[in-house]
Amino acid sequence: MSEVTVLARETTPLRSLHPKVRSVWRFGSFVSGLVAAAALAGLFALFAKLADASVPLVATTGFVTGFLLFGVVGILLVDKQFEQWRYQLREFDVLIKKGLFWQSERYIARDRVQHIDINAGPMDRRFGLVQVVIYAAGITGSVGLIPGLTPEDANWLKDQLLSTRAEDA
Amino acid sequence: MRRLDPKSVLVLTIEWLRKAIYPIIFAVFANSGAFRAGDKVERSMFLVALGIPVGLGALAILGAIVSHLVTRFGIVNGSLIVVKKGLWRMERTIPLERIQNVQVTQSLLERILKIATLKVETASGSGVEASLKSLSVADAEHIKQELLRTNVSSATAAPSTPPTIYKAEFKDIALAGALQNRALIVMAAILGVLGQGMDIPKVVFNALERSGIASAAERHPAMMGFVMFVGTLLFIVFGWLLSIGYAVFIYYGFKVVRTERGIQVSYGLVNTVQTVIPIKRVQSIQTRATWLFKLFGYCQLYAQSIAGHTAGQGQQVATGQTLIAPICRPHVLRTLIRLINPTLDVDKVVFLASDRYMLTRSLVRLCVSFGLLSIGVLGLSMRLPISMFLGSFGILVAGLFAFGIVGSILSYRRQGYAQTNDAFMVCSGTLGQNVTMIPIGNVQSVSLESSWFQRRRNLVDLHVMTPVSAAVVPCIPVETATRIKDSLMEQSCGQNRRGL
Repeated sequence: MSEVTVLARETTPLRSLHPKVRSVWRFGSFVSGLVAAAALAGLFALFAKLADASVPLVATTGFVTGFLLFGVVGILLVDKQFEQWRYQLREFDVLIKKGLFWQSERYIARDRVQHIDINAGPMDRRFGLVQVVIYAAGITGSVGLIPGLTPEDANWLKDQLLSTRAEDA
Repeated sequence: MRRLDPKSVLVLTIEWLRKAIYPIIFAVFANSGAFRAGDKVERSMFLVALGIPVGLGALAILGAIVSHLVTRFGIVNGSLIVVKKGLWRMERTIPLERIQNVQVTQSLLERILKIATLKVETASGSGVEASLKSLSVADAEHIKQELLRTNVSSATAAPSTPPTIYKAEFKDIALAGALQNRALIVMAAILGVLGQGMDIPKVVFNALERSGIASAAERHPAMMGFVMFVGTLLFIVFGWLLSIGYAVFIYYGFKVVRTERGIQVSYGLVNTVQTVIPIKRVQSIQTRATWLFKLFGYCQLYAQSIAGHTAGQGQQVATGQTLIAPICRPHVLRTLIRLINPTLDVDKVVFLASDRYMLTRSLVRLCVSFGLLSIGVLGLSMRLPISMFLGSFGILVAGLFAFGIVGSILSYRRQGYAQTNDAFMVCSGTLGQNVTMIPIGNVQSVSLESSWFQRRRNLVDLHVMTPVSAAVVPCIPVETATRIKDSLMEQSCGQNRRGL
């Protein structure tokens, strides 16, 4: 088995995500807007048929409403959401701060990290970004997700978080 | 980094076919008649019905080939790394000392192909964290030994405490059964099921008619009231007797013993259960008292843990919630809690209350939900007479609303939190009371969450997560929450760390 590398425990100031993540989120909101619009158009069309109203008109209204509510609003809120997203590697824990209306600060003990995933979807890869998923012991699966990181930052973060257990070992 | 064996493609494909065989059989049988009848439209429907599973099968084979091509695994720098470089890329890093369990399994097909599947689990709750299919049996065993090499734990020292710590007497178990009174719920469920097939009031009325009680009651209304009173009393007594019997059946011989491996709990009249909880794996302890338990000064004790190893000789190892005492008095409780957390003195703990905004918030939520409910019901029943709303419906809503207000006030008064040198405690409840004690070294993560209204008042909800539970302290000042969080995080690292 290979030797375990022990790294010095480093900390960071409060960092924001990579600005390109806004494009990934905008695309995500656009797709969810389209899906919601299609679903709402179908539902409206069904009601129109039952009520003997004009199906194309009502369905179009449903489509536009769905897209406005779930797509456009999401796209408009991306910048505000980006401003709220912060993460910080501290001496004893990782802080993940997010939320627009309901804000949350999650602190995950560095010694408690069980394993780490580095994921990248097609849009993440298009912009050269990855997501870091942090798992601690427990019944709830992952406890922290940091999107919009460059692969170098993600690998550094992974090494830092896992080096803590290397110190224990 | 290595690839999986090419046989994994065959294993994955056959696994899919096994799952899809029922839809295919259903599609063939459901449409074969139409196919023989020769209707052109129905024939094409049959081909479509058959084509869908076949098409999905082809996709599954393609998926299995792609999965084989993109998956790599290896042990690098003290961690097991699994990489998938497909459309969605994933790199999973599992530190070897965090691996809780490694399993080598072989299905019949795998035995024929002389391969095995290696499953790796950590304590995080999303099931198997890495599943490596189609390894040769020797390879699987070799990797398993490699993974477990860093994870060998030494046995704990022999206990100095007496072996039997708690033994529930027969009268204790009977009392626990009487205070829980679960049988009433069982009887209500049985009556509910029977009610689906027969008209129970009619059956009861006929029985009363036949026995002559009904005619006697008609002549003497006071007697009818007496019969109903006695009937209800008998129903409750019967429920209590059933509940006591049930408790004796389940918890007979309840005993807690300190062994080398931890706490051993054993009980059962017919089906005996024996559970071992390694003390270091206990993540939090909880006392629960329903209103009846509270009234008589009793409570129940539970330990929440995560399994670390499989014990031999038919012993189960506890995962999740384990009952340590079905019924106990405070002095027994103190002994049991000290066994798990020797320095915790429950008597000296002073609980602090949440901010009054907690009560305001629950009352506002109650008013909004009842307001919406009333508007909805009124809107749906416009044609019904108004007297109905002022009568029975109004009384029902007002009663539920009053119950909600009393419940909110009681919940607020029962809510509290406390921090000692080595434990964080939260108490909650409405009619009864639950107290959760989390040894500080077990905290996994802490969240401070706040709505817009809470931020205006400088308040947050504090969520403290252990591997098996989450304790929530609603509406406390930001400064207090931050101080608790800092202290929990600091003490959760280093020497205070327990268990995982």
